[in-house]
Parts: sequence; structure tokens; C-alpha cells
Amino acid sequence: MKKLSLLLAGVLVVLMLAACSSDSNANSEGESGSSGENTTSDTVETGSVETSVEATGDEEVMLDFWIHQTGEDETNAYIELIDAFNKEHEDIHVNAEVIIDDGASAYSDSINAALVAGNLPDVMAVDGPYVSSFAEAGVIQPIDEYIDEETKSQYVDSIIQQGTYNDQLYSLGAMEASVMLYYNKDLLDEAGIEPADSIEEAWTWDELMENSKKMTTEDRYGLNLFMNYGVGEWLTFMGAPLAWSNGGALISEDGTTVDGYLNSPETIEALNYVKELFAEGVVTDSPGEMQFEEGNAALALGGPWIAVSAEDAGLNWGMMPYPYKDEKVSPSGSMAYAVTNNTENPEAAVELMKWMTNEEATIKISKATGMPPAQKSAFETMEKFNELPWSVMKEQVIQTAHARPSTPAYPVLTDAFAQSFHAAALGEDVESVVEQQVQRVERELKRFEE
Amino acid sequence: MKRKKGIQRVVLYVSLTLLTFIFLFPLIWMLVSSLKDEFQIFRDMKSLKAFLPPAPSEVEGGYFANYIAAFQRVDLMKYILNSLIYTTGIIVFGLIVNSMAGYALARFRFPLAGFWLGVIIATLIIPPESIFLPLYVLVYDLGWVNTYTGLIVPFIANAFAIFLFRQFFLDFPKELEEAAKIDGCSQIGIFFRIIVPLSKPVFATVAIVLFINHWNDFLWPLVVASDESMRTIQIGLQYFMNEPPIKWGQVMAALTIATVPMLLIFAFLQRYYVQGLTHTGSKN
Amino acid sequence: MKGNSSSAKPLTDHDHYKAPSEPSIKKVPPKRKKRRRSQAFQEAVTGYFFLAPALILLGVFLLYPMGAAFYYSFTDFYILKPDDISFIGFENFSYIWQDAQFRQAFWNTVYFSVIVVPVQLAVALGLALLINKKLKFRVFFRTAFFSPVVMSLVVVSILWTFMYNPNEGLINQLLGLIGISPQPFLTSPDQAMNSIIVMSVWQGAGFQMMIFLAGLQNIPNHLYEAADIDGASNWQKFLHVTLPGLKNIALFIFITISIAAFKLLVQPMIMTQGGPLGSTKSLVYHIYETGFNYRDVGYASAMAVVFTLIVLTITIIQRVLIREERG
Repeated sequence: MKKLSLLLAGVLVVLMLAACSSDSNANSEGESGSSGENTTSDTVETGSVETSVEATGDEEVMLDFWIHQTGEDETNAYIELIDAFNKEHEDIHVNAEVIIDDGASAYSDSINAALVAGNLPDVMAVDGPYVSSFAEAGVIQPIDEYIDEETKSQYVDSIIQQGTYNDQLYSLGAMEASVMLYYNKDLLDEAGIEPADSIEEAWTWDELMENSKKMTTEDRYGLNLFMNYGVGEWLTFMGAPLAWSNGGALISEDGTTVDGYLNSPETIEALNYVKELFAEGVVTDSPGEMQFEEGNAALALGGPWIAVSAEDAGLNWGMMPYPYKDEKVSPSGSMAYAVTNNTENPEAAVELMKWMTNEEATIKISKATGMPPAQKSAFETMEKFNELPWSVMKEQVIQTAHARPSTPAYPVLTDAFAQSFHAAALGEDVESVVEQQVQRVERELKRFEE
Repeated sequence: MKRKKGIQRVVLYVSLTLLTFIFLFPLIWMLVSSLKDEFQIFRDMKSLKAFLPPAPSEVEGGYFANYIAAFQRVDLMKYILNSLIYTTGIIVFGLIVNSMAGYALARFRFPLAGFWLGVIIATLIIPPESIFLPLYVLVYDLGWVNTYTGLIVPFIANAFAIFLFRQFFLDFPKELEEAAKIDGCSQIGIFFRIIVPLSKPVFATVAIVLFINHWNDFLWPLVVASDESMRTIQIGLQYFMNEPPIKWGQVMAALTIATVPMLLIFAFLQRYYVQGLTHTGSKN
Repeated sequence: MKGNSSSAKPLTDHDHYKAPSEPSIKKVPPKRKKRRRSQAFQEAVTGYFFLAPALILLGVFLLYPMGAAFYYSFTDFYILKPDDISFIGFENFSYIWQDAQFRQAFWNTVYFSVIVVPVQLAVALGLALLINKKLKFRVFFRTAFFSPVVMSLVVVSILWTFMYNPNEGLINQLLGLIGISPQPFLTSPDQAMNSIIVMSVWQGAGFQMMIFLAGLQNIPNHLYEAADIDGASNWQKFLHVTLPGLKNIALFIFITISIAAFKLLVQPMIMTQGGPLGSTKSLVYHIYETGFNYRDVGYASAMAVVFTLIVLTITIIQRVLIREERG
């Protein structure tokens, strides 16, 4: 293939030079042409985002590292951690590239593109449920041999769970995530409703429905499900626990089929519950950006970042555990780090992963993002998690966290669930929509049969 | 009779004014909102003030606060520069390669000339959207993903441009070339020395058509320039639009900035563009 | 613009210019006796030298990918497993007929095209007729109608997404002023495609208006004068002078916008991500998603082949109809 580009370049050069020797026109054309080419290659070599931490070039091992970020504080925390790592390790140097996530698909687009292009970094951030997809494809590699049991046991269980595929550990994360039922204290007081302060007191589906209805008024919704995030991972992350809590599932335990799981009566009942919430008018499919923070919704099933924005908005807020039907479960899983098969230095790469997810790092990142830390000890060190409202989040992460399914067909599966959830929200016939989606996922699963 | 005419004129101007409003209100709103702070945008939207620029007393951070903030949040300059490199690259190489091909097809007699012309014209029917996946795989195999080369090279040769050039050169008087030949200049010399300088209109037309098409390109830069540092302005805007916190004023500022280069092109060179397209349209 | 000029005459034939009266339809250039062989050879070399760069580039970056798309469409090419491609016959094509998403995307695209094409054509023509007379501020009106064209489709799509916002959007606020309740422009499956259509017409009509204006100016004045003498009404003049005079241009616009409409992608991608409930997912968008987000290059290629065939069919049908029209 290189030959081809050489040939092309050759043809162009010949074309430039072949004109009349004394010809000013041809020459100027030629010059502008070749200088254009020079700038091209120059910029490509040095091209890099500003937020990168550049290498000095003396070290033996160079690691390319892709980080995912959602805010500036987060980026700064990462950069400080990486600078410290570079200082600490004389023989390793990390070049980090921070990729901004727009909440839609920016980060996964970058990874997808790099995958096809084969220019993955040594270490990259991967969203939890995608670990198996990448592991199955041989994009990332198991790290068991570089990590001992004791280190492993320091992480909260759900982090190890999401990082494991076929009994091998592939990823380690610095932060967990969860979905809390946020509430507006003033509105709850006004309606005379008692919040749940611990897992034991968690609301049932019926309580959620009833209380949401109670607090819905002419110009205010009872509940916000952040449908404005779009039809994507959020709906699976936030919505799948409804199915699990009802004894349903998205996919069989061995990961070979969704027929009888995604379309099981339990899963469909959960989606019909969602449909009812919308039909009752307690929640809208197009909430404003800051609906909860501005007091236009009394309750909200939102991620840890809502605590930050509610606080910023000066709202009098609190948080409750995720509501349940039969079993108490809650969303879990977040960005984690994995070592790609592109790397020549897996050992150094794992060293970096450990550094980025040790207690100190998890605390730093938790402070910057509001996300719960991934190290058990960090929960003890960080005092806020031992008192309300954050203690609820800690309980939830440690006790009821449920990882999303581990299957190489996850990209299709999550879209199938998200589409079904959205259809339920818009009042469509849940069963027929789910049936269609089952077909789609089954086709994808076939690809991974032996 | 006269009165009827008068009424007609009134109706005409009223409807023209109404139409003007329909076509302009989004633009005015975009421009005006880019100068306001977030709070004012939403407050003004509840009345026709949505279309009035903010009074000096209403602007706290200065008229261009949104612009400054947008530039600080994302590297709009870099995106615009990428777009300029991308479009300029295609224009410079495209003009050379396509004009030469058009010239060959208009002037020289060689085996299979008619066949090649047919092939080139037939490729016009291939929708680029249908080949972007294999093209991406190819560009990846060449190692050109996230490079300007990968953005530019696949679109240098352009059947439509070749066709335009050929039509133009067919009408070009031959005598000048004959004279130069007698002077002992090579064909290549003749082309670059005599033909090119005398064909400015067609070069301008093709350059503008290429600029507008590729400045607005979306799909190809989206897949090939996935790296943040390689994004073109169109792709950068799409990300900016979704990047929390979403500030309407800043988005409007970014949209305005992205429109400026096109505005300049149209303001000064519009006639070449319309000429180019109507030319081919009316000929058939 | 392609059909006529692709007729097989050797357009490079020099004789064609020296003696235009001479028929030069044969494939083999006639009367080459006088030319010396080496001269002909040299001319061929020069010709190919000029043509080669374009041919090579078109071959590598257009024809080869076209062939590759065709090849992939018979395989199970999956992006994550690029080294494990196997031939699976017509499986991808047969799945197209079972793929509910493809069907939906197909009909969405047809719906979009069938509405946008005539509406945009009519709006463009209407605007051109309105301002094709002596008017005060004529240039101002023309510029106003043309101004959306100056913005890119991406810019326009983003702008209208904010304008269509169900809560704080400009359009709903304006509707509120005249007592109309907020509309779910992009969030309701019934309205989303129509909202995209309105925006697309708004953005594109000004451009076709310019082309129509150029066409109107090419209609000779004496035709109108003759009609006046015959005592024709304005409507009759429009019907018998203006319309026939614009026919060629209208046909050209018709073809270009119907093909462009069938390639719908940017608007739904930016404004609705194909939703709600897939109601704005277009064919090209479905192909993109299948190939890039779901990594199924084989199936995406099969759909791309079908898409190409559809576009080809439209082009050919239109050509045939036009040719018949012209008799």
C-alpha cells in the first residue's frame, strides 16, 4: 500500500516538474503544490490536542494513554496524576490524550475509529460493559498475571465484576457510578412525603408511582428520568435495574441468547411500568436541561453528577436508593482502564492502571467528579460517604450494585434495550417493539457462536 | 384598474416582507442571541425582543463574551484551520489534476479517449455515501486515518470538475496553442503557460464549487478525522452542540463563526458558483 | 448532464474542430493517413500523461471502493475481526428483507424525498417568479431568500434543533405568543420528519430560486410581447411562455434535488439521531450506523449496494421520462 502512495506522489511531482522550464506559471503551481504536501505531513506528526501531556523522549518505555473526561476538574485531576506517575517512574513515560465525552458518542466514536485504524493506545478508558466486547475481539488483554489477589480485593466487587470476562480480569476502574433517586426537599416536605434514608427504606415501584403522582402539578413534573440525554447508554444504565428488580433479564446468563430474557414477561412488565409513568404524566420525554435543578421536577433518577449540579444550583436536595419491585438492585459500572493488545509493555501498562486506580487516585477523581470511588478503603477515608446523603450512595455501591450484562454483542444489546425503553416512554406497544429488538440481537449473537 | 394594481402591489410587498421574515428570522435570532447572555436569551424569547440586539446596558461581559468563551472552551480556530487545509488541499490539487484531465479529453486524440470520458461521466452516478465504508478501509490500509492526506487525496479527482473543464476547453480557441507549439514549447508548457492563465473563469468556478462542497462536508471528516486535533469545523460544531454545559449563546456564537468563511465566498464570488451550476444545467 | 455528452463520439478528434460539418460519430477517428505514426504515438502519450493522475485517483478512490463494497456485501466482514472474513453468499441481502429497521429507513427516505422534492421545487419557482420583476429592494429580497444557503447543513441543523426545542425553543415561544401550545417538533414520531422537511426546504429553496431566476432571464422578451398582442392573461402567459421556457432547468433541478434528498443523512444525525422510534432514520444513516457503530461492514455494504441500485434506478427512470417528454 505504501507503494501506491509513493506512486501517487511520484506522479504529482513529475507533473509539477515536467512543464516548460522557464515557465513561471507552472513553477508557482508546483511550489504551492509541494509546500502544501510538506505542511501536511508536518502537522500530522506533531498534531495532538492541547491537553496532552507530551513526552520528552528520553525514557525507555513510552505509553500512549487515552482518557475519557466529562469535565474540566476531571481532566486536571488526570493530568496531575499522570505527571506524578511520570516523575515517579524514570523508565516509563506516559503520553496522555484526553478525549472529551459529549454524553452522546464522542468517546466511543473515537475508539471505534481507532479500532478500525489499528492505532489504539497502550492503555485506554473503556466503558464497563464494553469490556467483554473488546476482550472477545482480542482488542484488550487479560491482566491477571500482573496483579495479585490482594490488590484485586481492594476494589469494590462491581469493578472486578465488570472487568471480568471468561474468568479473566481485563480492566480496573477508578470510579464507580450509580443512579440515585434525587429529591427536592422542599417539595417533599410540602407534600408531606418521607424520604428513604437507607437501602432498607427504599421505595417500591408503587411508592414511586404514587408519590410522583402526588407531586405532579400543572407546571411541574413528579419525576425526571433525564430523557434529554437521548436514546443511548443512559437508558440501559438507568433503566435495566427495573427489569432485574422484577426478576427479568436482558440476556441469558451464559450470554448466548436474549430470546426469553429481553422479552420475558418480567422484563416486559418493567417496561410497561415505565410506560405507565409516562402515561400518567408524572414524567416527560423531553425535560429541560436543568429540570430537576430548577425545581421543575420533584424527583429525579440521576447519576452522581446530579448531586454536583443540584448543589451548584443552590437546590435543597437529598438522595434516596434506587426504587425496587422484588429485589433491590442498582445501576453500576463506569469508565475503566484496559490494556490493549497494541502494547509492547503490558507490565508497565498495568503499573499505570494501578497508579490511576489506587486509593489516592480514586479519592482525587471522586472529589473532582462526584462519582463514588472504586477502592473500598476510599469510602472510609472520605468522610462524606459516612453521612447522609452520600452514605446512601455508598450503601448502594457496596450492597446492591448490579453490573450490566457481559457479552460481545453489548453494543447492539444496549441499543435494543434503550430503543425499547424509549418506545415504552412514547406509549408504544412494548411487546411488539421488544420482539423486533430480540430478532436484531439474536442476529448479532450468531456472529460470536463457535 | 389603477386601484386594483395598487392593491396588488401592496399584497405583493406584504407577502414579500412576510417571506423575508420566514427566511431571515432564524439567522437574525442566531446572530442576536450570540451577543446575549444565557438569561437574556431565554427572557427575550418570550417577546419580539428575541430579534433585537441587546442594549449596551444589558451586556455585562461585553458584546463578544460568548465568542470569547466559545473559543476558550473548544479549539474553534484549530477546527477552522483544519477545514481550510482540507478544502484548500482539495482545491489546489483538484484544479491541477482535473483541469489536466479535462484538457486531455478536450484536445488530444488517443486510444480509448471516448471510453474514459464515458467512465468518468458514469462515476458521477455513484453516490459517495455508498462507498465510504470500503473507502475508509482503504484509507486505513494506507495508514491515512487522522491525516490531512486521508482527508484530501480521495477527493482530488472529481468527475464533475473534469466535465466542467472539458466543456470549457472545447470552446477554447486553438490558435494560441498552435502559435506556442511553433515557439517550441512542450504540451505541458503550453498548458500551464498559456491555457491556465487564460482560463481563470472556469478555474474560479471549479474552485468555488469545490470549496463549498467540501467546506460543508460532514460524513467523510466524521469518519476519517476522528481525532480531536483533526476535526473540521462542521464536526467540531456537532460535538460542541452536545458538550455539557450547553450554553445557547456560545453555540450561536460558534455557528456564526463557522458561517463567516462561506459568507465571504458568497459575498464576493457568488456569481461564479451559480454560473457553474446553471451552466451545466441549462446545457442539457 | 451526463447522458448526452457520453454519446460515443471521439470528442478528442481534432477534425471535429477544424471541420465541424464533418460527421464524426464513428469510434475510430477517420483520415489519419497524413499524420505520421510517431506523432500519433506522441499525442497518445501526452494525452495519457494529462489524463493519468485523474484516472488513477478515480480508479483507486472511487471504482475500487465500489468494487470492494460489492465484494464485502457477500461476506461477514466484521470490523473487530478484519482477518476473519468469509464468503456467505446472499445472506446479507436476504436479511435486508427481514430487517425491520431497513424497511423503516427506506420508507422514511422515500417519504422525505416525495415531499421535499416537489415542495422545494414549487417554493423555489414561486420565489423566483415573485422577485423576477421590477421591484423596490429586489436585491434585498433575493439576498434574504438566498441567505440560508450560505449556512452549512450542519450549522442549520444545529440552529433549528435549538429552535425546535420543546421547552425553550424559539418556535414554541413564538407560537406561545399567538396562543398555540408547545409542539413536540423533534420529539414526536409523527412530527419529527415533517419538522426536518420544513427546515430542509427552508435551507435549500433559495439556491434553486437563483437557478430559476437565471432561467427566467433567458426567456426571450419577445415571447411575452407576442403573448401581450394576443391578449393573453398573466396566467396564460405563465402557462404557455414561462413554464415551457423553464422546463429544462426545472428538470435539472428536479433530478439534482431528488438524488440529494435520497442521500438524507446530516439532518437526522444531528437533530434527532434517527429517532424518535426510528421515525427519522434514513437509509444512509442506517448504513452508517450498521457499519460504524455496530461494526457490521458486510451487511452495511449489502445495504450500500442496494442503495446505489435505488439511486441508479431513480436516475434512469427520470432520464427516460425526460427523454420521452422531449420526444
